[in-house]
Amino acid sequence: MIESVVSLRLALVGNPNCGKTALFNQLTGGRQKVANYAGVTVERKEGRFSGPSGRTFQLIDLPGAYSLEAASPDEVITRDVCLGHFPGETAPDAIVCVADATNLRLHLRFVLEVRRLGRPMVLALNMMDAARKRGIDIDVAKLEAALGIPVVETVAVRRGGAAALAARLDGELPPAVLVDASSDLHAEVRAMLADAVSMPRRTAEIDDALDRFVLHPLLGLGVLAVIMFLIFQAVFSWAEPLMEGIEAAVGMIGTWVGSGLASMPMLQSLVVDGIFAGVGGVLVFLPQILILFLFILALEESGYLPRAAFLLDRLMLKAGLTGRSFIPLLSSFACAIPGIMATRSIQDPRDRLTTILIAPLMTCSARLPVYALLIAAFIPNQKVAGMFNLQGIVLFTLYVAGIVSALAVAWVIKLIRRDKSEHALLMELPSYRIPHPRDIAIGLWERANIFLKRVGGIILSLTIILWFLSTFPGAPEGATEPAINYSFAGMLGRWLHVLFEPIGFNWQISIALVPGLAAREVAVSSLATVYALSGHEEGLQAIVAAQWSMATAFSLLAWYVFAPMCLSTLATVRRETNSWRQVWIMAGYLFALAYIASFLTYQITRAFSA
Amino acid sequence: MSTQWLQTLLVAVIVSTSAVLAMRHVAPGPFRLCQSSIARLLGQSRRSAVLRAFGRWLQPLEARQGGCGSGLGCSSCGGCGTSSATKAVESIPLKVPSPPLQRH
Ligand SMILES: Nc1nc2c(ncn2[C@@H]2O[C@H](COP(=O)(O)OP(=O)(O)OP(=O)(O)O)[C@@H](O)[C@H]2O)c(=O)[nH]1
Ligand SMILES: [Mg+2]
Repeated sequence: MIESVVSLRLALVGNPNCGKTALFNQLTGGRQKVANYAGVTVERKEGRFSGPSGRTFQLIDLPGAYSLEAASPDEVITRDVCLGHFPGETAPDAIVCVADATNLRLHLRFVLEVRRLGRPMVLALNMMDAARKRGIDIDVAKLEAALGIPVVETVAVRRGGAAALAARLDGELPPAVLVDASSDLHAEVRAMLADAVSMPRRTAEIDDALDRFVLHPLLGLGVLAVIMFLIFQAVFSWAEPLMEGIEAAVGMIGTWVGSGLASMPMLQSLVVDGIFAGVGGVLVFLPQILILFLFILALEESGYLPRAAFLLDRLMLKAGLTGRSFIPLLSSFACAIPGIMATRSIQDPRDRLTTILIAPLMTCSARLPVYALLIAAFIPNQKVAGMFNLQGIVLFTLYVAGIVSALAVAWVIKLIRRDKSEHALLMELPSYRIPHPRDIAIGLWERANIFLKRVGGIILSLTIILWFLSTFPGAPEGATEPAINYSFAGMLGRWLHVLFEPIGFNWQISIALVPGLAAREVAVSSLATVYALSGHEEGLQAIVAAQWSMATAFSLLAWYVFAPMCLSTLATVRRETNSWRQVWIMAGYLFALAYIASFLTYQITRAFSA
Repeated sequence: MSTQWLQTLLVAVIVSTSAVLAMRHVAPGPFRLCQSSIARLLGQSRRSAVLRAFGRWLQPLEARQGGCGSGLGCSSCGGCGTSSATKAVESIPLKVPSPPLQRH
């Protein structure tokens, strides 16, 4: 393909949460993450679009910033790109400043600050739909005259809502306005607003009404607890029929393919015991993961999350964190990697480091298969108090255990660190928004894709390697035990077993932990493969229920609350902190906690069940 | 007997492909290094045209490299920070104030 020549490089700049990324996606057809809170975008992203005349533009999406005097690492990126200090790149040819039309009092200040850079500039007045609904009336011509730059109305979430902007950018841009850099920005904003904007009230009525509940110190916490609880109930009770369907389908195809390979027993074993038993064992958890994400996506778009952060700020302060850490930690429920990236929006480097160190304690979605397998095998599927699913309650408890230990670790870090200064939480509370079903569907589709790619990529390849290690070398002449006991994996498992015996892991678990380092779900597929090779015909859940003691199962659950094993997370920590020391500290403390927790769980459960 | 051979060949191909893929996931840095040195070796002018073409194909695609320390990672971050972005981040002058609690 011939690269079309870029005629202009444009950067999207504006306050957080004004819809820059939504505009970026709308113009370039990109799929960057959009959500209703400040600090979603934390890095520079690039895309292209063509204007009506066919000219090609390069568009750069940037993290939101409150000011060019950057305070947090993500703001530094925005500042550097605007000033042309970003490594390996000149300043953009023109700046597309984005402002939320419903919040001009705050956003215009930044527009004026950017105008001082003296670059060609266009103002996109975004969220015009919301502004109209609220009766906010903006005289665009007057605003344009006052600012001296073109002003275009946009609705980034509506199809074609950015067409006017694209057309304006495609035309001739007026040269930069030169302004007096010493003027009082606040006074200027006030004057412009008085002249060009009429606003019936500062906030939306519905937001105020909802906030009276949601931000109430007691009621609010109740609302939060109920929401979280319902999510985990849904994960178990809605997913069941879908999971059974997938399991049956995988089983059927496996049998069919296996019978076709009857003449090649080794290949048959690879396909049936390795690929179908192993990978199929992980694939069944797709519905549960999607249900979890359904809720996460809806919450992200609703505008509720910053409010939850606000509510929990008190509690988090006691533990040595701030409400700012809430959203990075919540993102870690998906995966610790985006969570650690999201800490770039935290200004204080020590708060940021603490948040990075505890992010892996949030239960990432890769752990869900392990939890779900063990819960389904050992916790009876019954109702508590006539309506709550017991398995869902246990899952909820495990997530809470992760959160509580994260707070405890943060508290210890606070004790250790010398500087005890605290920062007040200053956070923007966005308007509530009803999530678009279409956006949620796209988000879920993407999550499904990510999961399936993982299953077909790293999980599949590790499972095949494990099959190989569990099959070779074969059993010697006159062997009495199953062949797998003589294999590489069998030997390795037995060595590791020495280390893990005190916490109740058998050698099969010990061996499954190793590939689990690269992707946690592989622990499940590995167990499935190892047991299938040992001659077990049933599903993994049935095998586990029959072969393991309750104490072993609980011990493994406790292990996975801490689960120090994720190489990708450690690599991200290395990159974001630029230090091996933090990597070692993190891996070390997680391993120690996991071991201690499993040891206690195992010994206590055994004492009780004896 | 030929089924036996075919079987061994298939298993060997599947297992070694998996090993390469897993390597790429677990240690992307060393993997790329390895990949480019093999590509360079094959690209030498005394090699046959086929080998050289293979070497060109093997050359790592810089453009495709996404951050995240793990291509497939948990990647709700697609391709996170390029290394230069990260470097820019390390040197942050600290300033405290941020905007007041705002509702709109
Ligand atoms: N009603 C309405 N909502 C919008 C519009 N544009 C964006 N949004 C919503 O505003 C929220 C923020 O959008 P983003 O695109 O993530 O904002 P951003 O400026 O990239 O935010 P940061 O990356 O955090 O700086 C999301 O909930 C969007 O759905 C619009 O024109 N109208
Ligand atoms: Mg954004």
